[in-house]
Amino acid sequence: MGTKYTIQELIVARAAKELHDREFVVIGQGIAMAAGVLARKTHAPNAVILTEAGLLGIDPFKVPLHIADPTCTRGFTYSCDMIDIFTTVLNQGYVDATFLGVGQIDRYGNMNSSYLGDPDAFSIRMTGAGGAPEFVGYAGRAILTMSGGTFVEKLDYFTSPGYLTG
Amino acid sequence: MEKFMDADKRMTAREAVARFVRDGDSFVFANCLYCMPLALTHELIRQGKKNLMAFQQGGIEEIDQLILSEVIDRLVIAYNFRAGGPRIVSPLDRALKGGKVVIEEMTNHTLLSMMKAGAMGYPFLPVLPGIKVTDVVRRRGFLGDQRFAEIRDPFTGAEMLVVKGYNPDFALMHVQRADRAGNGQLWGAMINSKWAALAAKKVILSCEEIVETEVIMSSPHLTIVPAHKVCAVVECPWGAHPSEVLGHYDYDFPFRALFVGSCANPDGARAWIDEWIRGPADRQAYIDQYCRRFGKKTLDAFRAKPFKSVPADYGSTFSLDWDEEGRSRTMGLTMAEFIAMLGEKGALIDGN
Repeated sequence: MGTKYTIQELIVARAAKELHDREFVVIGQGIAMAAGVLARKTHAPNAVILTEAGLLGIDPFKVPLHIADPTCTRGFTYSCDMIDIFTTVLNQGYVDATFLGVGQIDRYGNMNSSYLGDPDAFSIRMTGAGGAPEFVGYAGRAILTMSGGTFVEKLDYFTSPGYLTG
Repeated sequence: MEKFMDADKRMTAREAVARFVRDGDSFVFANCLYCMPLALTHELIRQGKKNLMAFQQGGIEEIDQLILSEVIDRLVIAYNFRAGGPRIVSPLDRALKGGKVVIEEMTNHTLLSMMKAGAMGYPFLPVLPGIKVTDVVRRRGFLGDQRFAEIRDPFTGAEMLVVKGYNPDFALMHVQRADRAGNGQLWGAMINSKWAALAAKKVILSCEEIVETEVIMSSPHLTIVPAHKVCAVVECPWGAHPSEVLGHYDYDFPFRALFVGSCANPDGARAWIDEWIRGPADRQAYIDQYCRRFGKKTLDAFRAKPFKSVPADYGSTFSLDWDEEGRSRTMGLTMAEFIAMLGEKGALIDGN
Protein backbone atom coordinates (compact mmCIF):
# COMPACT_ATOMS: atom_id res chain seq x y z
CA MET A 1 0.00 0.00 0.00
CA GLY A 2 1.12 3.50 -0.59
CA THR A 3 3.22 2.56 -3.60
CA LYS A 4 2.72 5.09 -6.36
CA TYR A 5 2.20 4.03 -9.94
CA THR A 6 1.03 5.60 -13.17
CA ILE A 7 -2.06 4.56 -15.08
CA GLN A 8 0.24 3.19 -17.80
CA GLU A 9 2.08 1.02 -15.27
CA LEU A 10 -1.24 -0.30 -14.00
CA ILE A 11 -2.32 -1.18 -17.55
CA VAL A 12 0.97 -2.95 -18.24
CA ALA A 13 0.87 -4.95 -15.01
CA ARG A 14 -2.78 -5.96 -15.51
CA ALA A 15 -2.27 -6.92 -19.16
CA ALA A 16 0.84 -8.97 -18.31
CA LYS A 17 -1.27 -11.20 -16.05
CA GLU A 18 -3.25 -12.36 -19.08
CA LEU A 19 -0.26 -14.21 -20.51
CA HIS A 20 0.44 -17.73 -19.28
CA ASP A 21 3.74 -19.57 -19.19
CA ARG A 22 4.73 -21.58 -22.30
CA GLU A 23 2.50 -19.48 -24.56
CA PHE A 24 3.39 -17.76 -27.82
CA VAL A 25 2.69 -14.05 -27.71
CA VAL A 26 2.90 -11.37 -30.39
CA ILE A 27 3.76 -7.93 -29.07
CA GLY A 28 2.74 -4.89 -31.09
CA GLN A 29 3.91 -1.29 -30.92
CA GLY A 30 3.75 0.82 -27.79
CA ILE A 31 2.68 0.08 -24.26
CA ALA A 32 1.65 -3.47 -25.23
CA MET A 33 5.32 -4.41 -25.66
CA ALA A 34 5.97 -3.76 -21.98
CA ALA A 35 3.24 -6.21 -20.94
CA GLY A 36 4.81 -9.11 -22.84
CA VAL A 37 8.29 -8.34 -21.56
CA LEU A 38 7.05 -7.99 -17.96
CA ALA A 39 5.19 -11.33 -18.10
CA ARG A 40 8.31 -13.12 -19.35
CA LYS A 41 10.46 -11.53 -16.66
CA THR A 42 8.01 -12.61 -13.92
CA HIS A 43 5.42 -15.40 -14.07
CA ALA A 44 5.85 -16.61 -17.67
CA PRO A 45 9.61 -17.23 -18.14
CA ASN A 46 9.00 -19.84 -20.85
CA ALA A 47 6.69 -17.68 -22.91
CA VAL A 48 7.88 -17.21 -26.50
CA ILE A 49 7.73 -13.59 -27.59
CA LEU A 50 7.61 -12.71 -31.26
CA THR A 51 7.17 -9.57 -33.29
CA GLU A 52 5.94 -9.18 -36.83
CA ALA A 53 9.40 -7.96 -37.85
CA GLY A 54 10.35 -11.65 -38.17
CA LEU A 55 11.88 -12.04 -34.71
CA LEU A 56 10.85 -15.13 -32.75
CA GLY A 57 12.13 -16.21 -29.34
CA ILE A 58 13.42 -12.80 -28.37
CA ASP A 59 14.64 -12.00 -24.89
CA PRO A 60 14.51 -8.20 -24.62
CA PHE A 61 16.73 -6.70 -21.95
CA LYS A 62 14.48 -3.64 -21.74
CA VAL A 63 11.17 -2.58 -23.25
CA PRO A 64 11.61 -2.20 -27.01
CA LEU A 65 10.73 1.09 -28.71
CA HIS A 66 9.51 -0.66 -31.84
CA ILE A 67 9.05 -4.14 -33.32
CA ALA A 68 12.59 -4.31 -34.74
CA ASP A 69 14.42 -2.58 -31.87
CA PRO A 70 17.99 -3.87 -31.22
CA THR A 71 16.72 -4.54 -27.69
CA CYS A 72 15.01 -7.54 -29.32
CA THR A 73 17.86 -8.72 -31.50
CA ARG A 74 20.57 -9.37 -28.94
CA GLY A 75 20.06 -13.12 -29.12
CA PHE A 76 16.86 -14.64 -30.50
CA THR A 77 16.11 -18.12 -31.77
CA TYR A 78 14.44 -17.72 -35.17
CA SER A 79 15.12 -15.04 -37.74
CA CYS A 80 12.34 -15.13 -40.32
CA ASP A 81 10.35 -12.41 -42.06
CA MET A 82 6.95 -10.78 -41.81
CA ILE A 83 5.27 -13.17 -44.27
CA ASP A 84 6.58 -16.15 -42.25
CA ILE A 85 5.13 -14.72 -39.03
CA PHE A 86 1.66 -14.20 -40.53
CA THR A 87 1.52 -17.53 -42.38
CA THR A 88 3.74 -20.28 -40.95
CA VAL A 89 3.35 -19.09 -37.36
CA LEU A 90 0.03 -17.18 -37.03
CA ASN A 91 -2.07 -18.96 -39.66
CA GLN A 92 -0.92 -22.37 -38.38
CA GLY A 93 -2.33 -21.59 -34.96
CA TYR A 94 0.86 -21.21 -32.94
CA VAL A 95 0.04 -17.77 -31.56
CA ASP A 96 -1.83 -18.01 -28.23
CA ALA A 97 -2.10 -14.32 -27.46
CA THR A 98 -1.44 -10.89 -28.89
CA PHE A 99 -0.97 -7.64 -27.02
CA LEU A 100 -2.11 -4.61 -28.99
CA GLY A 101 -2.77 -0.95 -28.37
CA VAL A 102 -6.14 0.46 -29.41
CA GLY A 103 -7.13 3.67 -31.21
CA GLN A 104 -10.94 3.45 -31.35
CA ILE A 105 -12.98 0.40 -30.26
CA ASP A 106 -16.63 -0.67 -30.08
CA ARG A 107 -18.30 -2.95 -27.53
CA TYR A 108 -17.61 -6.07 -29.63
CA GLY A 109 -13.88 -5.47 -29.81
CA ASN A 110 -13.89 -4.26 -33.42
CA MET A 111 -11.19 -1.65 -33.83
CA ASN A 112 -10.31 1.42 -35.82
CA SER A 113 -6.66 2.41 -36.08
CA SER A 114 -6.99 4.35 -39.34
CA TYR A 115 -9.19 7.47 -39.25
CA LEU A 116 -10.90 9.64 -36.64
CA GLY A 117 -13.98 11.16 -38.22
CA ASP A 118 -15.56 10.29 -41.58
CA PRO A 119 -12.70 8.79 -43.67
CA ASP A 120 -13.63 11.09 -46.57
CA ALA A 121 -13.43 14.17 -44.34
CA PHE A 122 -11.41 12.90 -41.40
CA SER A 123 -9.96 14.93 -38.56
CA ILE A 124 -6.94 12.67 -37.92
CA ARG A 125 -5.28 9.93 -39.90
CA MET A 126 -4.03 7.47 -37.26
CA THR A 127 -1.15 5.04 -37.78
CA GLY A 128 -3.11 2.63 -39.96
CA ALA A 129 -3.74 -1.09 -39.83
CA GLY A 130 -0.22 -2.47 -39.44
CA GLY A 131 -0.47 -6.09 -38.32
CA ALA A 132 -3.46 -5.68 -36.03
CA PRO A 133 -6.28 -6.96 -38.30
CA GLU A 134 -4.72 -10.40 -38.76
CA PHE A 135 -3.33 -10.70 -35.23
CA VAL A 136 -6.69 -9.87 -33.66
CA GLY A 137 -8.47 -12.25 -36.01
CA TYR A 138 -6.12 -15.22 -35.83
CA ALA A 139 -4.39 -15.20 -32.43
CA GLY A 140 -5.98 -17.32 -29.70
CA ARG A 141 -6.69 -14.27 -27.52
CA ALA A 142 -6.27 -10.56 -28.06
CA ILE A 143 -5.35 -8.46 -25.03
CA LEU A 144 -6.08 -4.85 -25.89
CA THR A 145 -4.79 -1.86 -24.00
CA MET A 146 -6.10 1.69 -24.13
CA SER A 147 -5.39 4.69 -21.90
CA GLY A 148 -8.65 6.56 -21.51
CA GLY A 149 -11.38 6.83 -24.15
CA THR A 150 -14.73 5.05 -24.41
CA PHE A 151 -16.43 2.26 -26.34
CA VAL A 152 -18.01 3.96 -29.36
CA GLU A 153 -21.40 2.98 -30.78
CA LYS A 154 -20.10 2.97 -34.35
CA LEU A 155 -16.48 3.03 -35.53
CA ASP A 156 -15.47 5.84 -37.88
CA TYR A 157 -13.60 3.25 -39.95
CA PHE A 158 -13.42 -0.51 -39.51
CA THR A 159 -9.77 -1.66 -39.47
CA SER A 160 -9.64 -4.82 -37.35
CA PRO A 161 -12.39 -7.41 -36.84
CA GLY A 162 -13.24 -8.32 -33.26
CA TYR A 163 -16.50 -10.19 -32.56
CA LEU A 164 -18.27 -8.22 -35.34
CA THR A 165 -21.86 -7.87 -33.97
CA GLY A 166 -21.48 -10.05 -30.89
CA MET B 1 12.99 -9.04 -65.61
CA GLU B 2 16.23 -7.34 -66.56
CA LYS B 3 19.43 -9.02 -65.27
CA PHE B 4 22.17 -6.72 -64.00
CA MET B 5 25.47 -8.45 -64.69
CA ASP B 6 28.19 -5.78 -64.32
CA ALA B 7 30.95 -6.96 -61.98
CA ASP B 8 31.43 -3.52 -60.47
CA LYS B 9 28.32 -1.36 -59.91
CA ARG B 10 29.80 1.05 -57.39
CA MET B 11 28.66 4.64 -57.74
CA THR B 12 27.55 7.56 -55.60
CA ALA B 13 23.98 7.93 -54.37
CA ARG B 14 23.67 10.92 -56.68
CA GLU B 15 24.69 8.92 -59.76
CA ALA B 16 22.47 5.98 -58.80
CA VAL B 17 19.33 8.08 -58.38
CA ALA B 18 20.05 10.18 -61.48
CA ARG B 19 20.58 7.09 -63.64
CA PHE B 20 17.88 4.76 -62.38
CA VAL B 21 14.94 6.85 -61.10
CA ARG B 22 12.42 8.43 -63.45
CA ASP B 23 9.64 10.82 -62.49
CA GLY B 24 6.39 8.88 -62.22
CA ASP B 25 8.06 5.57 -61.24
CA SER B 26 6.69 3.26 -58.59
CA PHE B 27 9.08 2.06 -55.91
CA VAL B 28 9.20 0.04 -52.73
CA PHE B 29 11.23 0.46 -49.57
CA ALA B 30 13.05 -2.83 -49.01
CA ASN B 31 13.55 -1.99 -45.34
CA CYS B 32 11.02 -0.96 -42.74
CA LEU B 33 11.87 0.79 -39.44
CA TYR B 34 15.23 -1.01 -39.25
CA CYS B 35 18.23 -0.21 -41.48
CA MET B 36 16.28 2.37 -43.47
CA PRO B 37 17.76 3.50 -46.82
CA LEU B 38 17.62 7.14 -45.74
CA ALA B 39 20.71 8.32 -47.63
CA LEU B 40 19.04 7.14 -50.84
CA THR B 41 15.66 8.57 -49.80
CA HIS B 42 17.26 11.95 -49.17
CA GLU B 43 18.82 11.83 -52.64
CA LEU B 44 15.33 11.50 -54.20
CA ILE B 45 14.45 14.74 -52.40
CA ARG B 46 17.70 16.51 -53.31
CA GLN B 47 17.18 15.73 -56.99
CA GLY B 48 13.56 16.89 -56.88
CA LYS B 49 12.07 13.65 -58.20
CA LYS B 50 8.33 13.98 -58.89
CA ASN B 51 5.12 11.95 -58.95
CA LEU B 52 6.58 8.78 -57.51
CA MET B 53 4.34 6.05 -56.10
CA ALA B 54 5.66 4.48 -52.90
CA PHE B 55 4.97 1.10 -51.33
CA GLN B 56 5.99 0.95 -47.68
CA GLN B 57 5.00 -1.43 -44.87
CA GLY B 58 5.59 0.95 -42.00
CA GLY B 59 6.84 4.48 -42.38
CA ILE B 60 8.79 6.06 -39.58
CA GLU B 61 9.96 9.42 -41.00
CA GLU B 62 10.72 8.80 -44.67
CA ILE B 63 7.10 9.00 -45.83
CA ASP B 64 6.54 12.36 -44.14
CA GLN B 65 9.83 13.67 -45.59
CA LEU B 66 8.88 12.57 -49.12
CA ILE B 67 5.40 14.06 -48.76
CA LEU B 68 6.68 17.39 -47.44
CA SER B 69 9.12 17.52 -50.39
CA GLU B 70 6.37 16.63 -52.88
CA VAL B 71 8.31 13.64 -54.24
CA ILE B 72 5.48 11.10 -53.87
CA ASP B 73 1.85 11.57 -54.84
CA ARG B 74 0.61 7.99 -54.39
CA LEU B 75 1.15 5.86 -51.30
CA VAL B 76 0.39 2.21 -50.57
CA ILE B 77 1.02 1.65 -46.87
CA ALA B 78 0.06 -0.40 -43.82
CA TYR B 79 1.33 1.80 -40.99
CA ASN B 80 2.78 5.27 -40.62
CA PHE B 81 4.29 6.31 -37.31
CA ARG B 82 2.86 9.51 -35.88
CA ALA B 83 3.90 11.36 -32.77
CA GLY B 84 2.18 13.73 -30.42
CA GLY B 85 -1.25 12.13 -30.17
CA PRO B 86 -4.50 13.22 -31.83
CA ARG B 87 -3.91 16.96 -31.31
CA ILE B 88 -0.98 17.03 -33.74
CA VAL B 89 -1.76 17.23 -37.46
CA SER B 90 0.88 15.16 -39.27
CA PRO B 91 2.38 15.90 -42.71
CA LEU B 92 0.44 12.89 -44.07
CA ASP B 93 -2.83 14.26 -42.62
CA ARG B 94 -2.21 17.60 -44.25
CA ALA B 95 -1.24 16.14 -47.64
CA LEU B 96 -4.28 13.87 -47.74
CA LYS B 97 -6.63 16.72 -46.89
CA GLY B 98 -4.95 19.03 -49.41
CA GLY B 99 -5.13 16.41 -52.18
CA LYS B 100 -1.35 16.32 -52.56
CA VAL B 101 -1.21 12.57 -52.05
CA VAL B 102 -3.65 9.68 -52.40
CA ILE B 103 -3.44 6.62 -50.20
CA GLU B 104 -4.30 2.96 -50.35
CA GLU B 105 -4.47 1.29 -46.96
CA MET B 106 -3.27 -2.30 -46.64
CA THR B 107 -2.37 -4.52 -43.70
CA ASN B 108 1.23 -5.61 -43.16
CA HIS B 109 0.38 -9.15 -44.24
CA THR B 110 -1.54 -8.23 -47.38
CA LEU B 111 0.85 -5.51 -48.57
CA LEU B 112 3.86 -7.79 -48.29
CA SER B 113 1.87 -10.57 -49.99
CA MET B 114 1.47 -8.23 -53.00
CA MET B 115 5.27 -8.02 -53.12
CA LYS B 116 5.77 -11.74 -52.59
CA ALA B 117 3.38 -12.56 -55.46
CA GLY B 118 5.22 -10.08 -57.68
CA ALA B 119 8.59 -11.48 -56.62
CA MET B 120 7.55 -15.04 -57.45
CA GLY B 121 6.11 -14.05 -60.82
CA TYR B 122 2.56 -14.98 -59.75
CA PRO B 123 -0.46 -12.84 -60.69
CA PHE B 124 -1.97 -13.12 -57.19
CA LEU B 125 -1.52 -14.83 -53.85
CA PRO B 126 -3.98 -16.05 -51.18
CA VAL B 127 -4.05 -14.08 -47.92
CA LEU B 128 -5.78 -14.63 -44.55
CA PRO B 129 -9.46 -13.96 -45.35
CA GLY B 130 -10.57 -12.64 -41.93
CA ILE B 131 -10.24 -9.03 -43.05
CA LYS B 132 -12.82 -9.34 -45.87
CA VAL B 133 -15.39 -7.55 -43.73
CA THR B 134 -13.16 -4.58 -42.89
CA ASP B 135 -12.92 -1.19 -44.56
CA VAL B 136 -9.31 -2.05 -45.51
CA VAL B 137 -10.79 -4.39 -48.13
CA ARG B 138 -14.19 -2.81 -48.75
CA ARG B 139 -13.21 0.81 -49.30
CA ARG B 140 -11.33 1.45 -52.51
CA GLY B 141 -8.61 3.98 -53.09
CA PHE B 142 -6.64 4.89 -56.20
CA LEU B 143 -5.81 1.25 -57.03
CA GLY B 144 -9.56 0.50 -57.29
CA ASP B 145 -10.16 -3.23 -57.72
CA GLN B 146 -6.47 -3.90 -58.39
CA ARG B 147 -5.71 -5.00 -54.80
CA PHE B 148 -8.15 -7.60 -53.45
CA ALA B 149 -10.37 -10.19 -55.11
CA GLU B 150 -12.42 -13.13 -53.92
CA ILE B 151 -12.08 -16.47 -55.69
CA ARG B 152 -12.95 -20.08 -54.95
CA ASP B 153 -10.36 -22.64 -53.90
CA PRO B 154 -10.40 -24.96 -56.94
CA PHE B 155 -9.84 -28.01 -54.69
CA THR B 156 -12.35 -27.44 -51.89
CA GLY B 157 -14.68 -24.76 -53.25
CA ALA B 158 -14.01 -22.59 -50.21
CA GLU B 159 -14.06 -18.83 -50.63
CA MET B 160 -10.64 -17.23 -50.68
CA LEU B 161 -9.28 -13.71 -50.51
CA VAL B 162 -6.34 -12.96 -52.81
CA VAL B 163 -4.11 -9.95 -53.47
CA LYS B 164 -2.68 -8.88 -56.80
CA GLY B 165 1.07 -9.17 -57.37
CA TYR B 166 3.07 -6.00 -58.00
CA ASN B 167 6.52 -5.32 -59.46
CA PRO B 168 7.58 -1.77 -58.56
CA ASP B 169 10.01 -0.07 -60.94
CA PHE B 170 12.74 0.03 -58.31
CA ALA B 171 13.51 -0.67 -54.66
CA LEU B 172 15.61 1.37 -52.28
CA MET B 173 17.54 -0.83 -49.89
CA HIS B 174 20.25 -0.50 -47.23
CA VAL B 175 22.25 -3.45 -45.87
CA GLN B 176 25.30 -4.06 -43.69
CA ARG B 177 27.57 -5.20 -46.49
CA ALA B 178 27.72 -5.95 -50.20
CA ASP B 179 30.32 -6.78 -52.81
CA ARG B 180 31.00 -4.63 -55.87
CA ALA B 181 28.54 -6.62 -57.97
CA GLY B 182 25.70 -6.04 -55.49
CA ASN B 183 25.36 -9.27 -53.53
CA GLY B 184 23.80 -7.64 -50.47
CA GLN B 185 23.90 -9.13 -46.97
CA LEU B 186 21.49 -8.16 -44.21
CA TRP B 187 20.94 -9.51 -40.72
CA GLY B 188 18.75 -8.49 -37.79
CA ALA B 189 15.08 -7.79 -38.37
CA MET B 190 14.35 -9.15 -41.86
CA ILE B 191 10.78 -7.73 -41.95
CA ASN B 192 9.90 -7.10 -45.63
CA SER B 193 13.40 -6.92 -47.13
CA LYS B 194 13.57 -10.14 -49.12
CA TRP B 195 10.19 -9.89 -50.83
CA ALA B 196 10.30 -6.15 -51.45
CA ALA B 197 13.75 -6.37 -53.05
CA LEU B 198 12.86 -9.40 -55.17
CA ALA B 199 9.55 -7.86 -56.31
CA ALA B 200 11.23 -4.74 -57.71
CA LYS B 201 12.48 -4.60 -61.29
CA LYS B 202 15.80 -3.27 -59.99
CA VAL B 203 17.35 -2.56 -56.61
CA ILE B 204 19.35 0.55 -55.74
CA LEU B 205 21.47 -0.78 -52.90
CA SER B 206 23.44 1.14 -50.30
CA CYS B 207 25.61 -0.54 -47.70
CA GLU B 208 27.68 0.27 -44.65
CA GLU B 209 30.71 -1.33 -46.28
CA ILE B 210 31.85 -2.94 -49.52
CA VAL B 211 33.53 -6.29 -48.97
CA GLU B 212 35.41 -8.70 -51.20
CA THR B 213 33.29 -11.35 -52.95
CA GLU B 214 35.19 -13.99 -50.90
CA VAL B 215 33.42 -12.68 -47.78
CA ILE B 216 30.05 -13.14 -49.48
CA MET B 217 31.02 -16.62 -50.71
CA SER B 218 31.89 -17.72 -47.17
CA SER B 219 28.50 -16.56 -45.83
CA PRO B 220 25.91 -16.95 -48.62
CA HIS B 221 23.14 -17.56 -46.06
CA LEU B 222 23.29 -13.85 -45.24
CA THR B 223 22.76 -12.71 -48.83
CA ILE B 224 19.28 -11.19 -48.99
CA VAL B 225 19.50 -9.76 -52.49
CA PRO B 226 21.55 -11.36 -55.25
CA ALA B 227 23.71 -9.26 -57.59
CA HIS B 228 21.56 -9.85 -60.67
CA LYS B 229 18.70 -7.82 -59.10
CA VAL B 230 20.94 -4.88 -58.22
CA CYS B 231 21.61 -1.99 -60.62
CA ALA B 232 23.74 0.22 -58.33
CA VAL B 233 25.87 -0.27 -55.21
CA VAL B 234 26.51 2.76 -53.01
CA GLU B 235 29.01 2.48 -50.17
CA CYS B 236 27.56 4.70 -47.50
CA PRO B 237 28.59 4.52 -43.84
CA TRP B 238 25.82 5.84 -41.56
CA GLY B 239 23.52 5.45 -44.59
CA ALA B 240 20.55 4.49 -42.41
CA HIS B 241 21.01 7.09 -39.65
CA PRO B 242 18.97 7.85 -37.52
CA SER B 243 17.58 4.31 -37.81
CA GLU B 244 19.69 1.44 -36.48
CA VAL B 245 21.97 -1.07 -38.20
CA LEU B 246 23.09 -4.05 -36.13
CA GLY B 247 26.86 -4.26 -35.82
CA HIS B 248 27.21 -0.57 -36.73
CA TYR B 249 25.00 1.84 -34.81
CA ASP B 250 21.83 2.25 -32.74
CA TYR B 251 18.66 4.24 -33.20
CA ASP B 252 19.45 7.98 -32.69
CA PHE B 253 16.31 8.85 -30.78
CA PRO B 254 17.13 12.51 -29.95
CA PHE B 255 18.01 13.35 -33.55
CA ARG B 256 14.84 11.74 -34.89
CA ALA B 257 12.85 13.67 -32.30
CA LEU B 258 14.10 16.90 -33.90
CA PHE B 259 12.41 16.03 -37.18
CA VAL B 260 9.29 14.64 -35.52
CA GLY B 261 9.05 17.78 -33.39
CA SER B 262 9.48 20.00 -36.44
CA CYS B 263 6.41 18.37 -38.06
CA ALA B 264 4.07 20.19 -35.66
CA ASN B 265 3.95 22.89 -38.35
CA PRO B 266 4.75 22.59 -42.07
CA ASP B 267 7.24 25.47 -42.12
CA GLY B 268 9.24 23.91 -39.30
CA ALA B 269 9.37 20.59 -41.11
CA ARG B 270 10.42 22.22 -44.40
CA ALA B 271 13.16 24.15 -42.62
CA TRP B 272 14.41 20.86 -41.14
CA ILE B 273 14.44 19.30 -44.62
CA ASP B 274 16.36 22.28 -46.05
CA GLU B 275 18.88 22.04 -43.26
CA TRP B 276 19.42 18.28 -43.07
CA ILE B 277 18.45 16.93 -46.51
CA ARG B 278 18.76 19.66 -49.18
CA GLY B 279 21.67 21.44 -47.48
CA PRO B 280 24.30 18.69 -47.22
CA ALA B 281 25.58 17.56 -50.65
CA ASP B 282 25.67 13.90 -49.64
CA ARG B 283 25.65 11.59 -46.64
CA GLN B 284 29.23 12.38 -45.69
CA ALA B 285 28.37 16.09 -45.59
CA TYR B 286 25.29 15.28 -43.48
CA ILE B 287 27.42 13.36 -40.98
CA ASP B 288 30.04 16.14 -40.95
CA GLN B 289 27.27 18.66 -40.26
CA TYR B 290 25.96 16.42 -37.46
CA CYS B 291 29.43 16.27 -35.87
CA ARG B 292 29.90 20.04 -36.14
CA ARG B 293 26.50 20.66 -34.58
CA PHE B 294 26.33 18.00 -31.87
CA GLY B 295 29.95 16.87 -31.52
CA LYS B 296 31.62 13.71 -32.78
CA LYS B 297 31.25 12.24 -29.28
CA THR B 298 27.48 12.39 -29.61
CA LEU B 299 27.60 10.41 -32.84
CA ASP B 300 30.14 7.94 -31.41
CA ALA B 301 27.83 7.22 -28.49
CA PHE B 302 25.51 5.44 -30.93
CA ARG B 303 28.19 3.09 -32.28
CA ALA B 304 27.34 -0.57 -31.69
CA LYS B 305 29.26 -2.82 -29.33
CA PRO B 306 29.99 -6.22 -30.90
CA PHE B 307 27.72 -9.23 -30.40
CA LYS B 308 29.22 -11.78 -32.79
CA SER B 309 27.37 -14.56 -34.54
CA VAL B 310 29.20 -17.91 -34.46
CA PRO B 311 30.42 -18.47 -38.03
CA ALA B 312 28.87 -21.30 -40.03
CA ASP B 313 31.40 -23.95 -41.10
CA TYR B 314 30.84 -24.72 -44.78
CA GLY B 315 33.56 -27.43 -44.69
CA SER B 316 33.37 -30.80 -46.42
CA THR B 317 35.99 -33.48 -47.06
CA PHE B 318 36.80 -31.67 -50.34
CA SER B 319 38.40 -35.01 -51.28
CA LEU B 320 35.77 -37.48 -52.37
CA ASP B 321 37.76 -37.84 -55.55
CA TRP B 322 40.89 -39.03 -53.70
CA ASP B 323 41.77 -42.64 -52.88
CA GLU B 324 43.47 -44.03 -49.75
CA GLU B 325 46.90 -43.25 -51.16
CA GLY B 326 45.88 -39.65 -51.73
CA ARG B 327 45.66 -40.12 -55.50
CA SER B 328 42.85 -38.52 -57.55
CA ARG B 329 40.61 -41.11 -59.13
CA THR B 330 39.90 -38.89 -62.12
CA MET B 331 43.33 -37.31 -62.71
CA GLY B 332 45.59 -40.14 -61.51
CA LEU B 333 47.73 -37.53 -59.68
CA THR B 334 48.48 -37.06 -56.00
CA MET B 335 47.68 -33.63 -54.51
CA ALA B 336 51.44 -32.82 -54.44
CA GLU B 337 51.78 -33.74 -58.11
CA PHE B 338 48.66 -31.75 -58.96
CA ILE B 339 49.95 -28.64 -57.14
CA ALA B 340 53.31 -29.01 -58.85
CA MET B 341 51.53 -29.21 -62.20
CA LEU B 342 49.44 -26.10 -61.43
CA GLY B 343 52.66 -24.27 -60.58
CA GLU B 344 54.21 -25.41 -63.86
CA LYS B 345 51.25 -24.75 -66.18
CA GLY B 346 49.35 -22.01 -64.36
CA ALA B 347 45.62 -22.02 -63.70
CA LEU B 348 43.80 -24.62 -65.76
CA ILE B 349 40.77 -22.41 -66.29
CA ASP B 350 41.08 -18.91 -67.67
CA GLY B 351 38.67 -16.64 -65.80
CA ASN B 352 38.05 -14.62 -68.97
